[in-house]
Amino acid sequence: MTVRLFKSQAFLLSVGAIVVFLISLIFASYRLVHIERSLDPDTTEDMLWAITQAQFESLRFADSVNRFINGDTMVQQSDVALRYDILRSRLSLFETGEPKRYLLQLSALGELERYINATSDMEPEVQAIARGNTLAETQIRATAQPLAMHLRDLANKTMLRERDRARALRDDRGRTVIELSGYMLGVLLSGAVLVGVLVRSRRDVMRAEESLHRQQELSRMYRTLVSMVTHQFGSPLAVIDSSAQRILRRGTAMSSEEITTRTTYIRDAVSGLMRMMQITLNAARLDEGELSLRPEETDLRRLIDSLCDRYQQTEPERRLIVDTAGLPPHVYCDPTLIEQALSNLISNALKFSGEAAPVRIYGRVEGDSILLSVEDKGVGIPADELPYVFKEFFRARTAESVIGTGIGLSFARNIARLHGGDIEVSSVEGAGSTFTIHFPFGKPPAQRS
Amino acid sequence: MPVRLPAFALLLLMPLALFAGVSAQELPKPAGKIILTISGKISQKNAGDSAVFDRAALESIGKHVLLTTTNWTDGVKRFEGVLMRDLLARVGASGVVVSATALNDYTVDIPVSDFQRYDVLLAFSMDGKDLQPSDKGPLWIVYPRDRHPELNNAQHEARWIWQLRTLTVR
Repeated sequence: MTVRLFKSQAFLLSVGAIVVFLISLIFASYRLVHIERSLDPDTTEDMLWAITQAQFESLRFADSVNRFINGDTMVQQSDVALRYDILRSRLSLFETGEPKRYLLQLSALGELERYINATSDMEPEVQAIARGNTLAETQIRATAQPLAMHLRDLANKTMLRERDRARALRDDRGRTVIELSGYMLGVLLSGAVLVGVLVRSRRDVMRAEESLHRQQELSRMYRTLVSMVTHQFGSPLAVIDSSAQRILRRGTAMSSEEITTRTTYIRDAVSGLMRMMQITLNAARLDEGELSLRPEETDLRRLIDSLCDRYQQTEPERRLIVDTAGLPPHVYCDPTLIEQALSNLISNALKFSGEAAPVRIYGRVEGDSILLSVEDKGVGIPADELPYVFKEFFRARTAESVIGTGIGLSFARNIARLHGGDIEVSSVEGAGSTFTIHFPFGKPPAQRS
Repeated sequence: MPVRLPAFALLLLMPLALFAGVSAQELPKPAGKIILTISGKISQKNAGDSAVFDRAALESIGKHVLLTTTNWTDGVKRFEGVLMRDLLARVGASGVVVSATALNDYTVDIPVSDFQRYDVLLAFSMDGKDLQPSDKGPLWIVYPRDRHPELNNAQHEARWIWQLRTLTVR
């Protein structure tokens, strides 16, 4: 069963789905982390800063050249040289490392390098700069101005590119987050399916085990039944056979009294057999779940009275003492089953006690329970066998001389338990037994599960 | 009680004694071109309220070598310079933050704890060549970022100040 579960399609599918979703989840999470990292604006911000700084320094350089040549005493040649160094330093930044890679991506390095080279080429002019040399100023300006313009364009381009890149990344992130949620949902759903499959298969296993157990129980019961039938049905059949033989042998010579006696033997034996069959059949039906509890408002007093009347009619010589005054007028129970249980107890009481001994049937209420007792002054049950009397097919030593199936008491107990109660016995060997069925009164009895 | 007090006082004096040991030597007046000016909370001064250094004075603090990649260069570079830790000790610095300013007036604040935790170098040469003002010279603060991956972030990269001109201890 377990192996079949793990090979079942639904199980494999859901496990597979979980694995696939989890793997996708890991990949998507990884991608999200990557996107988040790319969204980190460091590189581009640094680039923008570097470009604008270079632009700023190119303008400052041009300004210092202009002021120096035009005689501003605040500006010395060393200041011009410093501004030139700083500008070159800012430009050299673009020729290595991260900035170079960035500009290559932007395919802006080639053009920028032409400007950078032009700036480096000015070195002799800058070193030879002299006040009043406006030609040199024009030459330097002709390099520095376009450089500043170009850097401005580059900053613009960088900013726009970053904006596009950030938008693309944000879109990608949005998609990835949705994808992640989808995978998560997928894991949850396939997990739910898996749990469903497991629960269902577990239930199937339990049901199968239960059914197997019932089958084993039934087959054991039927085997016992067969041996019980061959054993118990023997003597009544022998009585019938011998009576029939006698009638056959004597033929018309038989007196009408003897015919009556013999046929009465036969009829008693047959009714005994029929009773055994009926009890067996009912017990089997109850076991197989064919008989179910159908409780209703029942007048137990009338039920017991009419049951005792029927016994009194078939066995008029026996004394049945009925005391049901303590019972409430209406009890919620299954009348058919209760009657069957009581009938089994009364039949036992009559079978196992002497002709003259009375059988007392009485009902009463104790707490919230109904108690129905059948008391006889019969053979009783040996104390060591008392715990087993309700076991199916069990027959006490003291019952050996009387035919019976060993089912009646177990059936009565099943019925009591169906009503949410039980059956109890007290007995003294040789003095008699009292069987008491009790079940909760007033509230609906527990349903058969 | 009378015994504990001198012991306690001794404990208090101990760092002062160490400090005095390191900076016992007076800062000489530099003869060459001044490339670094340190001001602020320092105890050793040689030019008014500041301590100034030429290349030789810097080198006398003790040369160190640092091999590392940088964000602005390609491949592993060999930097030579002095440890910022040693430099601050030399001038008897007592602040928690150093404001570093470059030739182009770029300024960044660096916590002194960086120098205590890492071997941060004030480099004056790269691959055996002196750093030039037209590139990243004369001085460049270099972090050992290959040895400490936690330094690879924007916050620390901003502290790699080049064309360093002045330090103000605060």
